[in-house]
Amino acid sequence: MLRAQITRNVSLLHARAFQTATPLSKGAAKVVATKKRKQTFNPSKGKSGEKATRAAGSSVKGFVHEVSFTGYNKGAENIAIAALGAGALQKGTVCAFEGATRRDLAHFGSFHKLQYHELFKNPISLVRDETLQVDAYVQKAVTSPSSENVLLVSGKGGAGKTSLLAQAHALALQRAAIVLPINNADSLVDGSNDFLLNTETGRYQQPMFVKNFLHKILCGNKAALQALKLSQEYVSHYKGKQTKYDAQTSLYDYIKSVRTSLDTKNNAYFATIIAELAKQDQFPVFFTVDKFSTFTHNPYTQYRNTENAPIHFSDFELPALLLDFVSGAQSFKRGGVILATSDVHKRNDTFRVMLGEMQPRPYVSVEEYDPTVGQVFLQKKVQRLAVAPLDLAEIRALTQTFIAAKVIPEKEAEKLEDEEAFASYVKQKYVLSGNGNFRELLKSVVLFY
Amino acid sequence: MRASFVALARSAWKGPHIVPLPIADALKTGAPIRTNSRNCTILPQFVGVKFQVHNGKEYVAFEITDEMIGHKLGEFAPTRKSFKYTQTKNK
Amino acid sequence: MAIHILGKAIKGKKPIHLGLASTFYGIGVGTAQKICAKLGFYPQMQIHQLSENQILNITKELSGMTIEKQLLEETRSNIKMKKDIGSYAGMRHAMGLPVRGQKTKNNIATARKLNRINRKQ
Repeated sequence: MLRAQITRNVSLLHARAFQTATPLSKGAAKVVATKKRKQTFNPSKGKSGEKATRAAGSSVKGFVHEVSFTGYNKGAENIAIAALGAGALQKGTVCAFEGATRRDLAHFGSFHKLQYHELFKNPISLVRDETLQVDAYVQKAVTSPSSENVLLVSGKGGAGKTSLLAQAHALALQRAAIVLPINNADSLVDGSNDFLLNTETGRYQQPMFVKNFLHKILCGNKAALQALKLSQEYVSHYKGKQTKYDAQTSLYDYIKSVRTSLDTKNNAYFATIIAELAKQDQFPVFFTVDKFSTFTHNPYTQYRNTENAPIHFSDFELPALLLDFVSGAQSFKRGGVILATSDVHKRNDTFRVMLGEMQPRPYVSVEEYDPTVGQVFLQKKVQRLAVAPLDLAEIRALTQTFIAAKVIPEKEAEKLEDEEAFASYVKQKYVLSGNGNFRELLKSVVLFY
Repeated sequence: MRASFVALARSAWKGPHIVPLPIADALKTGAPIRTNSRNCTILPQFVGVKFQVHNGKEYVAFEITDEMIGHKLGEFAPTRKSFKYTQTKNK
Repeated sequence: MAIHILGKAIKGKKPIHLGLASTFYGIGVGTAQKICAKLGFYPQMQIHQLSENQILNITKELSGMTIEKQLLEETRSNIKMKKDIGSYAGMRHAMGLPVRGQKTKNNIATARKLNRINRKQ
């Protein structure tokens, strides 16, 4: 009963978030406070020498953050659903990410905010046609070079591209693959990370971003990386110290060690790591990029060079490397590259050329068509996967899970016990979700029941 | 006077607007030049010449100094009289 | 945590270009962005992230520019010169009226506020 109460609290919070535009962190904080400890202001306590240690920055993280990361899922209803398992997928069933897979995906950041994962004990996902296709793709990719396995996932906003990517992560991990996940390609170009010109390669490096990226890779692929040994000796320099890595060092230790030295001048640590991954044949490697369309949206980044001119994204090390793997200039011996588009980006000529919908027109501006990306997709045979809207059967399966997880309040759920009522409810949800949009369906269930 | 103001006001290829005026005579004799061309640009040669520029009603007299170069003659002969309240009309 | 540049405090949480633009008279967002680009700061870098060395670099850039008091002084002397030679623009400045031929029937608050020989800003 208590759990149901908490779940409902969360739903109510969600509902409030969409009703008002006022800061909601207060409301969220209130609930959290009652859960954690009573917060009081007692001046005498402060003086007695008990100093509160506070992390840097604000302690108020905002509503979305609070809901996503304060562990509301601990109070969620236990529901018996199967774990997402490679090779044993059944279309139309709802699966959960569990155990090690769940932990690794959380490290990758595959579960995003505002995907309502806090409503369930374990993040759930629906096995759809696309999932089966991705499963077949991963199955094939683990045995063939990554240059032959470039998959482009597209679809409308809220159709489930990002969720599909999470499933792809899970399916790849379960086949003992190494996953290199870039969850938000936007942050490579929006100027939120530092940059440094490598005068030897002529490309800009992004130490802060790569450091975080490597951290994700380390945590999510621990076992595989520990099993991999370096193919040759390497030397790293940091603050006058020189460290040698012999060929017996595991890739895990190497990455962990050089991760902090990424801001040294003209370093090639990241390139080395990728080269090592490309050399080995022990594990398949999957490069996944969400919001890849940021590069078609605007090929020029927010970064500026010393002459104050915008820098093209291909002048950055990581995006250039990414393009190399898409075009096949570089390739992992086994594995693939999975790209997902985003709906927030412009549907310009570059975007449509990328999707294979049109041929480039001559004499259009760079904003409309950027040959750097366009050429890659014109010359490269890319597998394309359009994420379709949900059908009635899928909405039915999801709704049943929602009822089981008590996301739909019990009072409401009681009315749906009758088969006829349930069918009409599903039909209603289908319409409310904009004829099968995943995000809209979740919203209509969680916010406007 | 910033050079850019002059450059912005008029195409560079045209050069400054020049009106034929008896500058050489005026410099020799020191006699003032009476003129109606308010839009004549003041050139470096004008420095030291006395001008009487028409303001629509009468001729305003002034002498050209270094700092006036680049301005127009009319800028130094105001055309409008500020309003002053008087009790009787005949004052 | 505020950082002091040329004796002026800038809030630590501000992006560098906005911090500079809002603190120094004579530096707008465009100029501030140019400075940031020249010194290699990334667009969303914040004031509190600046190291001692970087602050020195900014100070060096700024001291080579006409800003603050110096700029105000220059503007004032330009206006004063116009007044001294007896030009129409100088006269309008002195009267606190629009200089560039705007109508004065109404809406001249900005001119009233700003246009004067000893201009305040």
